Parts: sequence; structure tokens; C-alpha cells
Amino acid sequence: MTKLITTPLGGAEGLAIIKTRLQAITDGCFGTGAYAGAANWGGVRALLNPMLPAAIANREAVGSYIAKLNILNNPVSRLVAAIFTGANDVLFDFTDPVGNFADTAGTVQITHNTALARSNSLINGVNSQQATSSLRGLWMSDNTGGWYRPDQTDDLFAFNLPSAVTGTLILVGRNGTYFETRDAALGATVNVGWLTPHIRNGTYGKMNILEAVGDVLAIGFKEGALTDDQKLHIARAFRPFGGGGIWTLEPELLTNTTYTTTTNLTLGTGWTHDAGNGRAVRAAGSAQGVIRENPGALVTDAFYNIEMDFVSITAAGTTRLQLVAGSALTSTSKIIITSTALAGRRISGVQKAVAGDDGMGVYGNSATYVVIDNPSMRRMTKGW
Amino acid sequence: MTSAILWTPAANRAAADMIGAALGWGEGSYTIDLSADGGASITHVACRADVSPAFIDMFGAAKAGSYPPGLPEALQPAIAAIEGDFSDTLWGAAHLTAVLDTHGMERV
Repeated sequence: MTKLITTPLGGAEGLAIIKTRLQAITDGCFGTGAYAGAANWGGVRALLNPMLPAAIANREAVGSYIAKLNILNNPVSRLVAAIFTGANDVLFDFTDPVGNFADTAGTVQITHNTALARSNSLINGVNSQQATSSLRGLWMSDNTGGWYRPDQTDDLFAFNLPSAVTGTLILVGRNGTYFETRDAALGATVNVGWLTPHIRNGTYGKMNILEAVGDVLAIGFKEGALTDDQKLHIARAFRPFGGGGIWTLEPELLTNTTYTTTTNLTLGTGWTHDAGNGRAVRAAGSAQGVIRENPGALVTDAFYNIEMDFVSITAAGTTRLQLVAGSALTSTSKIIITSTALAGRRISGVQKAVAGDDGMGVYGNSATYVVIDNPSMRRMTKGW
Repeated sequence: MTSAILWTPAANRAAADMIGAALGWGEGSYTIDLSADGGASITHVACRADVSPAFIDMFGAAKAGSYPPGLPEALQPAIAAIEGDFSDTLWGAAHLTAVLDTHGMERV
């Protein structure tokens, strides 16, 4: 549908006439009653001319509403109708203050630069509550809409799915959009926190991903797998609000990804090669050391996805999967292997390269006793 | 608001959490496990929060022995074991990293 706006709004008419015509245009474009949804003449006027005085709340409310409509598209509500249709699907939308609250009871609508205590999913009646105030992230906004900003230290956004099902966790951020398969065996509680998913709470997945996602526009879960088209649909729906492209992985950077030999590997103190099984072993008792491969200079400030099978963990000790500069552990966002309960899992994480980084490695201290295999290091890039 | 990193010896976690609860923060504030010796064992615990100037004043007064009204007497000694760092320029992970670097601690 194409609507041509031919009404002169340049000041030759009185405000009452302009208002009437704006109402008609809005209802004509977006459906009868749309203007009532926008609700507020002061806000519309401020939107059309930000230099005019209007209450900040009016500007934000109407600005958010109009952006969400995306001029004849209404992308977020279309998502719910087109994709999030299952009984276990949830979608928390932070672009609008509606549905986000400063109290766990859900009675105080969130405002800019306030701790987010509760968010209601757009569907299935699911809500996320954070009762501990220091674990709440901030809800922030500007004239493009709102977002959730976890502090990436201890803030935790948790919610319970109607049922424990296998599906896709969706994190839409202003820096990038990320999709991850989540197994039903992890249970119905989904945690999005500083080590998303929070490995110490029994879940596992890509750690430190929030650093790559940035400010969060939406958190969702879709039962089952998403097609590439559906992923694009979701990411693009939030693009008008500043959403970043979808994170993908570039080709493998390591040359020794099987440990069948020691080619290009540096076995630090305490590390040995198990040629029979094609693995590397770190037995407890020796001084700290790093096993590493250094394929070449990484791009400073680029994100890298690093992974490793932890075949067994007899003692976690202090064990870290890291980007390295030579043998030095550089990134502050260490991927920490904390428990023998993680044995048998492929542990993956995201780290941002710092100047001098040229590879990846695993650090173990004197207590570390692990067997590792199949490392991977791939740069992350994003696109549409 | 000001970003606060509060940390205390691990043995003081329960008392520190109770102080947080008494201040209306809810349960379980001190969730960040730290090691002051680079080892695997947890020697300290921390939390990060956004706090007001009034909180910073109250924290300083409490450290000096003037406790906030309503704080149970049994919890008062635990405040002395809580350290704090407040920043108007650093927030979130950047603030925590700076504090850990300054005090030679690592996240476990």
C-alpha cells in the first residue's frame, strides 16, 4: 500500500487542522485507531519537529511507537505472528517500555536509565523477574527506542519456558544478533548473564557472548530450529531500533584441529601429547603452563569464537581457554572451566582480541588435570 | 548513578548477603567468585551494583562505625570486612576488571 502525504503541514493551517489530518494519515497508513495508539498530540508534534517543546515522556512514547511501526511494516508484532507461534516460544522486547518494569510485580513501567526488575514476554504469558537489585541490568532509551544493558559482571536475566524443549536461544543486540541451539536436557530455566548461557548454573554454551551482542534489544526462545530466513526476519525486525547483523564464523584459523600430531603446537609446562588417542593431557602436579597454537596476528578488537572438547576433567584447578599473545594470556574476559561436571563437553566462548594476540591456548595451573581435543578458533563477522 | 564494586572475604558472604537483604537489595547479591592468590579456591566474593550518593555516604559512615538504622546488630561487624570501590566513569565489566587489577584478584 502506498500513501502519499499531500497535506500541507508547513504552518499555513492551524494546529487543529494539522492534528486532524495527521490523525487521518496515521489511521489511513496503519489502520483505524492507530492514531489513538500513538495517543498524544504533543508527542507527534515533537516527533515531526524535535525542536518543538514536548514532555520527554511524550516524545519517547510516540517516537518508540512510530519506530516500531517502521512505516507500514510493524516488524516486531509481525515476528510474533509469523515466527513465535509455538506454545514454548517467548520474546522479550526491550525496544518499548511497555511490558518492562522497575518492580517485580509489574506495576511500575520502566523509564530511561532504571534497573529492569521485570519483563513480560509478548507471548505465552512468560515473564522474567529479578528479585535481587544488584543483579538487574539497566533499561535505557533514546529516540530510536529502548534496550537492556546487562553489566556483564553479575546481572542475570532468567526466565522459565512453559516446558523444557530443544530450541533456539535468540539474543538481538545493537552490536550483533546471535542464535544458539539450546537442548531440552538443560531444563526449562534459561539464564542470560555474564557468561551467557551461565555455565555455572548447569547450562552450557557460548561464554561471554553478551560482549559481542552489546546492548540487548530482545531476548527470545523459539522451539525447534530456525531457518536462515527466519533468523534474517528476526534480526531485520529490530534493525530500525539499531539492531546489529547476525554473527557468523569465518573459516578455521588453526592448522592442528585434531591433535593427532603436535604439528604447530607448543606444549607448555605440564602438557603432554597422547598420540594414541590424538589428544593433549595436562596432569596435575607440575608448574602452570599453556598449550597453544599461534597461527598469526589476530585483528585487534575483532571477536573470535574459540572452542575445545574437554574430554575429561579430573581436576578443574585453574583452567582457562583463552586467546594468547605468544604464551601470554591477554583477554580479561577469560573463559574459565570451573568444574569437573563440565567433562565431556565442548566448551566455547567469545573473546575480543587485544593488540599482540596471535593464537589460542589452554592454561592450567598445578591442580589442573584435563584431557582436551579438537580446538577451533574462528573470527566472527556479522551481516544481513 | 555510580557504579559500585563491593567485595569481602568468602567466609563473610552470608553476612554480606544478609546486609544487602536488610538494605532492600534482595537475596544473594554477592555472586562473583574471586581468587586473591590466582588459585582455584574462592578467597573473596563480590557484587556490582548501581548506587546513589546516599548509599556511598551510608557505606562510608558504616565503615567508620555509624551503622544505618535498622541494620541488625549482629551484622554490624560484617560491614567492616566489606570493601568498596565507586566510579562515575567506569561501569560493568570495565569497572570490575579495574578493581580486580588494582587489588590483584581474579575471577574464579
